[in-house]
Amino acid sequence: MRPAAVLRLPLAGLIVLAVLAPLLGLGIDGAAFASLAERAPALGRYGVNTLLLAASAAGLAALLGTACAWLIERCRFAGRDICAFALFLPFALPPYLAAFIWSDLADRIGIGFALRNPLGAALIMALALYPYVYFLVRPAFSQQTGALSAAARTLGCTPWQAFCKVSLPLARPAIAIGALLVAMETANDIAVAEDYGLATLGYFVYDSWLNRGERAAAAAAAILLALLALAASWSETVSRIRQRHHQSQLRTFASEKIAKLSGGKALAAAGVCWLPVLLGFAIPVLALIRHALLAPAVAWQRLPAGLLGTALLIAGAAALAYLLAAAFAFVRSRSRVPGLFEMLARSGYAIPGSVFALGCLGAAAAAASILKAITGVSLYWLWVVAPVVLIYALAVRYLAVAAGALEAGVAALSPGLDKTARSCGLSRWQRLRMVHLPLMAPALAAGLLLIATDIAKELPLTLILRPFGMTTLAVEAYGFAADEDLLGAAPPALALVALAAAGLIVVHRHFRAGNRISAG
Amino acid sequence: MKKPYFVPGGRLLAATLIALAGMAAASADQVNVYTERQQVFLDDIFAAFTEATGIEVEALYIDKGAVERLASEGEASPADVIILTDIGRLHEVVKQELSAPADSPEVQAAVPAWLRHPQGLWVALTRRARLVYAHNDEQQLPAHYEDLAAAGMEGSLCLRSGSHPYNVALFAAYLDRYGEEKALGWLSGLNQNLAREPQGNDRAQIKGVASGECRYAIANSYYYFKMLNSDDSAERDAAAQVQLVAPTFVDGGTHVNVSGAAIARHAPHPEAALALINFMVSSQAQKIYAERNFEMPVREDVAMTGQLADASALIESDSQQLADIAQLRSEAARLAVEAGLAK
Ligand SMILES: [Fe+2]
Repeated sequence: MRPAAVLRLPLAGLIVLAVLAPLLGLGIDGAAFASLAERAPALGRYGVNTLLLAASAAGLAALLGTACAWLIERCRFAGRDICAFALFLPFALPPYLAAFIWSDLADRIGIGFALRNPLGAALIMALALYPYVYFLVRPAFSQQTGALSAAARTLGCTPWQAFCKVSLPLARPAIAIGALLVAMETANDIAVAEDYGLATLGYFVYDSWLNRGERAAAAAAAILLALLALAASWSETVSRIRQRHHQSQLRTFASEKIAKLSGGKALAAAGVCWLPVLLGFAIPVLALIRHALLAPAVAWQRLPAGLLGTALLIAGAAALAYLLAAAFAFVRSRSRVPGLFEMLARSGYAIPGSVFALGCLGAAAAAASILKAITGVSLYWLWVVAPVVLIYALAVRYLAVAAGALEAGVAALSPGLDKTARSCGLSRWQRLRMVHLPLMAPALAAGLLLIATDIAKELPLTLILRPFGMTTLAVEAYGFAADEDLLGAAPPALALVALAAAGLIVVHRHFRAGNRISAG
Repeated sequence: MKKPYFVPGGRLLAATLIALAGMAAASADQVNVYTERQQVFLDDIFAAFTEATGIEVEALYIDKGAVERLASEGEASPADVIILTDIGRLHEVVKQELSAPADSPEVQAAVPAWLRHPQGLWVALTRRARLVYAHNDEQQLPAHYEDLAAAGMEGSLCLRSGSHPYNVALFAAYLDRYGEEKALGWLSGLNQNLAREPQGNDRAQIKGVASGECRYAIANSYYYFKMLNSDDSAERDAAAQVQLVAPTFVDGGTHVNVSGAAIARHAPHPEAALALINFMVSSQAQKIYAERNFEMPVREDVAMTGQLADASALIESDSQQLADIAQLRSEAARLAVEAGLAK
């Protein structure tokens, strides 16, 4: 047996344990399942509401993200380069904050009711989260083959048919992964659901557990939520596997053809691309800038501490998430159950963050007491004083994003390429370093930016699990927003935006470098 | 892949941070606080406490989940004091046996009996009245909470989600007084009179009155005062168009919820913990609460400033057992769903 094969089994066990620990830490017992049956009618209602909301948010986000990614990658129009950049920016704002800002603006002109409803919430979530789709899909379009669409068109397809029959299927995995992330985040959201008066399972779990101490009911809803998310995840993976064959054949074409737009078409393309930037970013940020000018001094004074904590968490948790994702990919390649490991990787994203945090608390307490029983030393200080549990929790939570980026990257590799590289006598590591990584770079860089931004704005985990003396920009912003004070929340929120923009500038270089390699 | 540039500096700073936090958590002249309240005004109180006693306060602001964190940490928890809003959360601490008695002579002298647990397992720090708001031009002001449910007032009332703890506590107070049948009737009446689906936060209800979306709104009074004193002229202007009404239940009493504190059962610094609670019910700290957050003190001898004093005078004090309200939360939340106020 090769060493890699020997490693695989214990590694798989370790990873599965690490990823499932927070869920096990919830201590869900028979009572929860009994409660699941007992509350079936109410939970059914919440379940339907949640599915509708999550599906509309994910659908809208997929539409926005895909349309913009395609226009940016396959067309040229005035302002395209800046727009390509700006389309990521709405992701810098936590969805709840965008929701609160729009809520406040609507209240000022007396139309709060028109916004705070399921449709409004789906729009807000889609505008805040479409960058998941946009960023994961862009690499898929950028490496796609103009020759292929050209071929399709000579065979009598209209441009629209060519897009639907050729471009879209190739980008489908990335779209599906992005949309799934949007759906799960929407189903698990609490703050927007509370403010907009929505009956989602995510809100139900939080409300019954933390507001009323009804643990069994909360656990029942959490189980249902996780099952729905995992079912969606599984069906996405399985349908993708079915499609893989067809896709790898399409991959063998490679050349670029980009449409130069002018006149009305250019204007329309620019309009489509700037709209989400305007609604998801420009307007809320303008409101924030106005609020920041009126903000109390303390909101500014705590920025350095918030920035430091945020940077520390990004460095630790993003690295760990990618490490876990890579280990996952390694183990998964031999798994006999299709979709099993994808499902596992996404399990951390399948329940609300605050409940996930409670599970982490449970798991950490159990681990501490086991270690104490063995060594006689309490290692508890480790997480009272250092953000060990928090970094672990964030990494597992966002493993779905890291794994998604890795998958999108792998999808960009053509199987023929590997064979060619092997026939040139390149070793496994040489192939990885010289062929695979450069080709995967755009997707990995995009994933890194997504995950770093996600960690920066993450709330319930950071709030509940952080050690004494640690704060982050998201925690600072929430401290004020929870008190319904948007003025105080503005400076840390703007700092989050600045941080995301800086990250975007750093990562964008890799993005272009990757494009060059794949194009040439 | 290249590493981000800030990593080396970050590590150094992290190490320093960890060392500092470690020293802080171990120090004797220190008290560790977990709180679901916000930092803005607690900072001032903690600073005053440190100045008065020399004891440093290390606080962790956990807006949601401080009780659960304390519970899971068990004996290993570094927390000495836990500070919470809403009687429901204080009750959760007692239910899970997470607190130790804080019944010093200072507490007994300062806090009326109905505002603390009989054994001192929680002590209220502030009172928070849930009141009604109407436009300045409104002639017909509700004298009782029941008036909001009266027939013939369809499309007039705004409130946030019926499952929010602030509303659930109000509903539970009603349920405690009048029983299930009447409570359901009242809640259904409220539902009938809604101007819009329950939504938004407390400030949004007051803004709704200003903009004309709502004729009456229900919200905690400190939000109204914060809006009146906001640095944001739009919020100030909205609140200025709105008047505060302090209704009572038909047989008297205005609904009051509390924020409060408890000593953690496994507190590593129990003396410092008690000293902090004693300080927080002192006139000095109570005054900061009233001035900075516009909440009503639990002490009767603390003078309040203008608007808050006026409102406080309107409020008919009521010694309804807070523990009963806490216990009836689940039942009240269920009735709210049945009446259509929550989903
Ligand atoms: Fe409040």
